[in-house]
Amino acid sequence: MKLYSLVGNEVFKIIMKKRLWVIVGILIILIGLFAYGEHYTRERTQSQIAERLGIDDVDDWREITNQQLLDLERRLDNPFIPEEGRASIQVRAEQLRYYLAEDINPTTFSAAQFMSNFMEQSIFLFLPLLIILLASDIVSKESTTGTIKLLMTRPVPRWKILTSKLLALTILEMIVILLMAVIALGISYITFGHGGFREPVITGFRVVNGELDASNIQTVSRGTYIFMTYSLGYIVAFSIGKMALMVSVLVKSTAASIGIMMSSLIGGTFLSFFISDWEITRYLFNVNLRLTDFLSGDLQPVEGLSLSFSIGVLLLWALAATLVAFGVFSYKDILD
Amino acid sequence: MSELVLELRNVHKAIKGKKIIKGINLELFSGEVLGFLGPNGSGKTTTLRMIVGLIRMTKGEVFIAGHSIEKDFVKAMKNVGCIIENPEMYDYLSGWENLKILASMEKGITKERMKEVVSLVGMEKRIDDKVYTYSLGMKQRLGIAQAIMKRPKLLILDEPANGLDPAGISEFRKLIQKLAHEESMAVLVSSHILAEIEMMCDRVAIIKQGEVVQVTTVKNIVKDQGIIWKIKEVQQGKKILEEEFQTAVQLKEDQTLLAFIGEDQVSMVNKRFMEADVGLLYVNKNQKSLEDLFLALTAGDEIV
Ligand SMILES: Nc1ncnc2c1ncn2[C@@H]1O[C@H](COP(=O)(O)OP(=O)(O)OP(=O)(O)O)[C@@H](O)[C@H]1O
Ligand SMILES: [Mg+2]
Repeated sequence: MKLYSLVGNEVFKIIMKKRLWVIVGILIILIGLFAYGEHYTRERTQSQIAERLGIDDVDDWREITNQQLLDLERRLDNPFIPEEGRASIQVRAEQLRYYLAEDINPTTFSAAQFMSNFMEQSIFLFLPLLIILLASDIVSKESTTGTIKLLMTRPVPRWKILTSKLLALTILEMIVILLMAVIALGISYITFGHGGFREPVITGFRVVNGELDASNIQTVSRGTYIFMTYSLGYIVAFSIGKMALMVSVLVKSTAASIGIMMSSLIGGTFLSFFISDWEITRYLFNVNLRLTDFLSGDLQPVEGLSLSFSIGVLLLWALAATLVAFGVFSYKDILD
Repeated sequence: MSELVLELRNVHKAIKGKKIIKGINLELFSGEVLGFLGPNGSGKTTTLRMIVGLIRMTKGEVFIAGHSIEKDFVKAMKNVGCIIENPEMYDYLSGWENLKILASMEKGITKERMKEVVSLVGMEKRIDDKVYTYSLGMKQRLGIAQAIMKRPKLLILDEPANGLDPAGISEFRKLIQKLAHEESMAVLVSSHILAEIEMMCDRVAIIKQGEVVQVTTVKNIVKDQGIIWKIKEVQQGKKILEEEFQTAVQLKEDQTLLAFIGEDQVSMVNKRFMEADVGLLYVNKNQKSLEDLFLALTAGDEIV
């Protein structure tokens, strides 16, 4: 049987289940709140800084940035700040110095900036949750309702049925990323007015042994930067989706399937806080989700990670999950 | 010529160490309806699941149209339409969308054929409604439609009459017999309703605790089924039957007479009873023959 028609069936089923509309609803509400919050904080910090400096002109970004830089340098002199915190302040300070030197205004906020910010904030928790919501019932719902018997008594080998589900899920993950981009763009355009897609962005900061390494920095346009963040988002969606698919094959109920994925997502993140110096922690998928931080130069929860290492770990998890899913799905008895 | 469509060879199944099916052998030919009878938990559904490859056999082999279900799943399943246990469908889709999805997974099911089966099961009016608005009987009808739409060589139905109304059951029975006898499908149907099985099937296989204890033709059971008379003058009637029709007569507990005579003779007996004025109240076929057999064979069987 032709694979694409099977994939078509699966995509059709996911869309008709209306999960996708729930996701669109959540996205609209959350992005709306996020945009409002961002707008509000920006205005307040700007006027606070201006007030402290005793200047009326809140639009003089050079002065504000200078002030922020001084602030950071003061905090670096504070002996009570721990080593990790110190490194992240250094990164931030370095970035500000760079903005000043290159004449880039970091205080303005554009729709484009909001878009990349939104993905940076979502990539490690919100995006995985959406994907879990979408993927967790892809097999388990068929087990609960018994429709799996319909599928498995067709003249189609089991591996082909699972492949069609896997490909449909991969397409739907892409659609979720696109939905995030479109909804974020729409809402932020209404909130912040200007686009700002051509604004230059600096990327490529790295922290090596607690020191800021600026040797690889590059300037790209904000549009390119957004494309990069959303692509990294897709990698996260891809691997979380495959893990959710595996759990969905392993357990019968959708509620259990969602529960298991959520608790390993959140539990693993907690775990990584407590045992961050343990070598094995870096192979948890949880600590490797913040892929966009490698672009922006923010500090990773576990030291010594790199973009390619993290992507590699995520893809390995996806591969292992897929193998387990296929192994179990091809051989399991359908007893109910 | 009828061909061998389904063959079970020494099929075993153990689940978590518990032996559930203990060596079933069965043959089913095209154009034949085989009733699969057995008490609750005797292993009917388990056997049917193994036949369609939903669960693996611990030991033994199943061949469908000559193809092993384990080694040649796709070729074997090309010949099978089935409903296992309940007629589950995607309830968030319409009946028609369900059929479309399932048809796309087979070869050569045309839109015309789909429309044809929809009208065969009498679902034209509701086929575009979502399945969650269907009643149990309507789901069952849709289930039957999806099972027969590819004109399978082997049709497997697990308690298909479940939820159907009397008119539905009678239509369903006619449909099954038509499929078997005109399109020479082989039909394997499990049921609890003995009268149903008796009217619909050519043969019955009775299963008890994972073993087939008897396979017999329905004709055989029905042949010595007997006729029952309810009359006022029991002794006089008994004498007439014994002396004038030379047949053995049983006087049953409920004061009815049971005799094994050919149906052609029944009207003559009735005529004689009227003449002799024995007070004839009713005359009936002995409906309990299959039930008697079933109860006798599965006596003392408890659900384990
Ligand atoms: N998932 C399971 N795990 C363990 N035992 C099971 C499982 N499913 C069924 N069984 C056992 O297998 C036996 C046969 O069950 P099966 O469903 O085949 O019976 P059945 O003949 O179809 O009964 P019914 O007439 O009630 O439908 C029963 O004893 C049951 O307890
Ligand atoms: Mg059963």
